Amino acid sequence: MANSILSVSQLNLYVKSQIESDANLQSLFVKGEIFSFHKHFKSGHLYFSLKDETASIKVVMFASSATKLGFMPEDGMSVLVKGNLSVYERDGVYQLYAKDMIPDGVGARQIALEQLKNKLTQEGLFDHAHKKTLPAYPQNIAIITSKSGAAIKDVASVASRRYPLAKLYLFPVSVQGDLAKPSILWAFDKMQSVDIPFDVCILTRGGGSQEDLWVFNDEQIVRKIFQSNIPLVSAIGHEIDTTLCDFVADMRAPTPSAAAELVTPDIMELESSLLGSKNLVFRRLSAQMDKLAFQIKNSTHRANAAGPQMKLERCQNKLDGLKMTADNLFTHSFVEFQSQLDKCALRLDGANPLTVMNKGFAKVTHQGTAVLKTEQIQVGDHLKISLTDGQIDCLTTEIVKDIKR
Amino acid sequence: MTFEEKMKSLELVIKEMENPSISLEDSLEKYTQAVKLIDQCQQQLDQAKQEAAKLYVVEDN
Repeated sequence: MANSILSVSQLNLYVKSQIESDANLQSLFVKGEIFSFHKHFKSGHLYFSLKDETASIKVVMFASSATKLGFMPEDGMSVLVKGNLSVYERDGVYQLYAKDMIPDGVGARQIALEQLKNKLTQEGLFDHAHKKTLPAYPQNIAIITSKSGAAIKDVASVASRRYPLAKLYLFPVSVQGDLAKPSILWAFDKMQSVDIPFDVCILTRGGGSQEDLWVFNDEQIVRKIFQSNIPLVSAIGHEIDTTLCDFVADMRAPTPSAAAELVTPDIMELESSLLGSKNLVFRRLSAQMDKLAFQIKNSTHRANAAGPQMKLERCQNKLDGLKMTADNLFTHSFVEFQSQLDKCALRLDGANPLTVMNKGFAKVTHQGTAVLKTEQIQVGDHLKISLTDGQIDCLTTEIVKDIKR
Repeated sequence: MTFEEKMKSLELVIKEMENPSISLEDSLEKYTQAVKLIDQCQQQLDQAKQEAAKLYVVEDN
């Protein structure tokens, strides 16, 4: 190629092919600060420059890669760009063709997090309308956390003490480092595929640096939680650490123990509430019986006033009256009868022969026949004279007839 | 019936008992049902208290 005359196009093409054939320039990681950021509104391609203290380079990110970004780059943001170097032949400039980009440094990461949070908020992932209610009495509780951490011990001990009826299922995952994301995603898939009807899920890990907790801001994990139909309680890090998982969770707890408390009813409270229910139903039933008893009493009263009972009472009264009249009549007639009897007795007394005999009269019989006339008797007849206290046997010596008779 | 189902039926039974137009026969029946459910729940709690909640580990086969 030496000494030959090239066209501009030929030169640029040559440089391009030289650069593209250099393996060292085809899979690059370049670190720098973004400036002159521009997003082509129609195509969605991103155009910007990266710089450090002394140099800069142009960067292009095509829309196909740009849409996969978890954040929106902006001027001043430090980023780590993955891509390859090539030449834009028209202008004769070499530039970085970015395939992926991640925020670099705490500041940039924070900005990226804010952006992701805004994006997901706008999509409605954190809306209260989507929050699921925790079950009152969970039978199967899924716990996604590290197998070896303190979190699982805390959750198991609190849940077991409060609600020993529950079955706890640990999905052991890495909670930090490179394996964290795939293992947490695995846990959510497994939770759906395993044949256990989970009532609630606890996603937890103990405290750690922001770096340690970073995986819980991962967009894919957040979306996974959002898609899950199992109510989820998050307890990630300390109370001051809030991750996007906490935002998308149906409920957030400050510590693993608090999460266990949130998802389980307390057995002591349950027992007292059962007792309360027993009292309640008893009181309810007795109140109803009391009310009915009162109604019965009331109705009886009214029924009696209008019904046969009253008629019966009236009959009874009438009967009583009649009876009294009858008694009166009877008493009256008895008295009458008595007085008549007394009169008779008096008259009878007058007729009593003994009364006459008491006055000195005696009864004279001859051979059992009362002697009334002198002609019944002849001298020599034995006559019997009956007195009140005995008889006298007499011999007739003389008979004198009254002349008058 | 699970504990939850029992608690749910209990709530329902109590609600029915609170209906002011319930007949005495129904009320008695509901009362019997409620007491039975309460006793069963209590029994289940007593049983569970004897043993700690079980912890299983779910892993890929």
